[in-house]
Amino acid sequence: MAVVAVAALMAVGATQSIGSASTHPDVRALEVRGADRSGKGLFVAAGRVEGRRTAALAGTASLPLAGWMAPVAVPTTGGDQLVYSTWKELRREDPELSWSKQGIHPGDALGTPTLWVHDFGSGRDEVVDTNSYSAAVRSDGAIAYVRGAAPYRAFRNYTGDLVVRASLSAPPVVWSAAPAEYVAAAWAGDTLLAYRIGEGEQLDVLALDGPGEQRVLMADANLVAVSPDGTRAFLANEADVPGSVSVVDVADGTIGETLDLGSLDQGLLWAAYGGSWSGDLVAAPTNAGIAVFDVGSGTISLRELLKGSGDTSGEDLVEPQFTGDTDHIVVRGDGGSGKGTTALECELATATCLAQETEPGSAWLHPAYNPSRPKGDDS
Amino acid sequence: MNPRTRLSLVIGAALAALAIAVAPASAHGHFEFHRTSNLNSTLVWVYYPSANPTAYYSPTWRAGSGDSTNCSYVGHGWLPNGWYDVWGHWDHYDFTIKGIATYLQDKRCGDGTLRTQLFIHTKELADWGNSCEAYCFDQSTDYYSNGCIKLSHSGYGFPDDIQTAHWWWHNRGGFSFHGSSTVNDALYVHS
Repeated sequence: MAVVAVAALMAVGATQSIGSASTHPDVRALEVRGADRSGKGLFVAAGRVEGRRTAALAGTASLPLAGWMAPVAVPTTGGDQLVYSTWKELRREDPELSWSKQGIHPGDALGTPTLWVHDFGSGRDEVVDTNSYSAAVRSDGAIAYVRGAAPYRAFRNYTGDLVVRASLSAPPVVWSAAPAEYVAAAWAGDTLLAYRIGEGEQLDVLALDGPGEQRVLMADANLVAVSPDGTRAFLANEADVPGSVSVVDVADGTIGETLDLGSLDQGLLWAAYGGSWSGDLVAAPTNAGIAVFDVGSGTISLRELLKGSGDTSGEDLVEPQFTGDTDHIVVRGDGGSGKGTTALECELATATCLAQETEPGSAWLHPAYNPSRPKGDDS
Repeated sequence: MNPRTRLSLVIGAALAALAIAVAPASAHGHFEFHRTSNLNSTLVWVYYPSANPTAYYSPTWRAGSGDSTNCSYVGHGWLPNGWYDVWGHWDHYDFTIKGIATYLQDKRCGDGTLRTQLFIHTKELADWGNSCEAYCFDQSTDYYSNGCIKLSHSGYGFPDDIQTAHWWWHNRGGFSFHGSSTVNDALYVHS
């Protein structure tokens, strides 16, 4: 992919120290510059892997049924393989028109997801499972994903099971209690964290401890990130607006610390999925930008808020992932309708980002990352 | 979109019990949602009296959708632009969403992300009563949703727009059915 300087994202960073009575976060607008070299991040777009590794995939890694609730591509421990989802459109659709206007009837097959694994050594791609998507890859090689029974059909909810394989060659075992609209999110130790999508796209965060051992970790919530040791989850509650963020014990669901976002007086309404946790810091996408929370002192405090600039608003900075330390993150900047998507590598101390790539939305430019913890390597 | 409830209710097969099957119909009227902001967009009913090609309009109602303007943000972004078929309409829906509810077809955003399980609804109980906080409309932030179109409900100083829109749907070029049924081109969403 060609490196593109993104003029629309260019802005001069401005720093102001604003805080509530309990916190004094740095609030900054990101300064974005064009990059002249590849960075530390790993991205997928338009059927390619770019960044610290390069490769051609069997298809465009994408998750139409989940967006970026889970990563579209997940490196395995050690980074030798990449597990990713693709989508095959079985019938061309015009989103401007209703299904009826296109002659699409209830039950018509419209698309099918497939789960793949790419081996960087051989360059080969193999199908893991059909009618399947959203992989969570554990450090010992176990893989969880959603397996549907059939293609996605018009006027039908796409229900499936959460299945787990001890390895890519092992048979799948159903872990979910009943078919539903699931998304496999991440492993927290030996517990699988997943979403159940309900009416009105309400997301419930589930914890699955084994076959049929399913519980609701938090209803109406987003999983932001899993702690480095895999014992805790940083969850964003969405029952109210403004919402709150909490550190939750994965084993028993005990809610430890909670921070009401409205108490920060920063205009934060919600935090969302696709964040990361390194050391005592949690990077979370929010409506106002990338929020960096400190969870190390027994409470949750807002340490830094990186706002958007130019045509990229704060809510369009998503999937912030720490890259090996707590000083740098990779972020996806969504320029909005028709403006493309940009891979950014940012330094937190200076609020400066290097724009690595820009692609149209249809290319599904996303960071490839593994949100499962513990990681099992130093990537 | 979200009724902002902590309740986690299983729907599944019970949905069928509510369904009153009728033949798919073509609309003589439709809703139009003008997508301008998450909290303060508008919904209007447009209809065409028989043998008269002139469009007539209902009063315009304030309506919300999503808590982000990024369509591809599943569970956050407002719903995609375009024409929608309706999958069902209920007066006393009683699952996670309650009360007057109109179920919309899935729709793709620009990058292909599918938005699913979207409704036109409010925050009320199945019998149109209130139970705060999950099922009452008592503040402007109740217009936020996970993507659905949200209208206000009476009881806490807001107009009963869900009931008014419901009346226009049934009585001005709309439909009399209740339950699961497809209605062609029943909603147009535009920026």
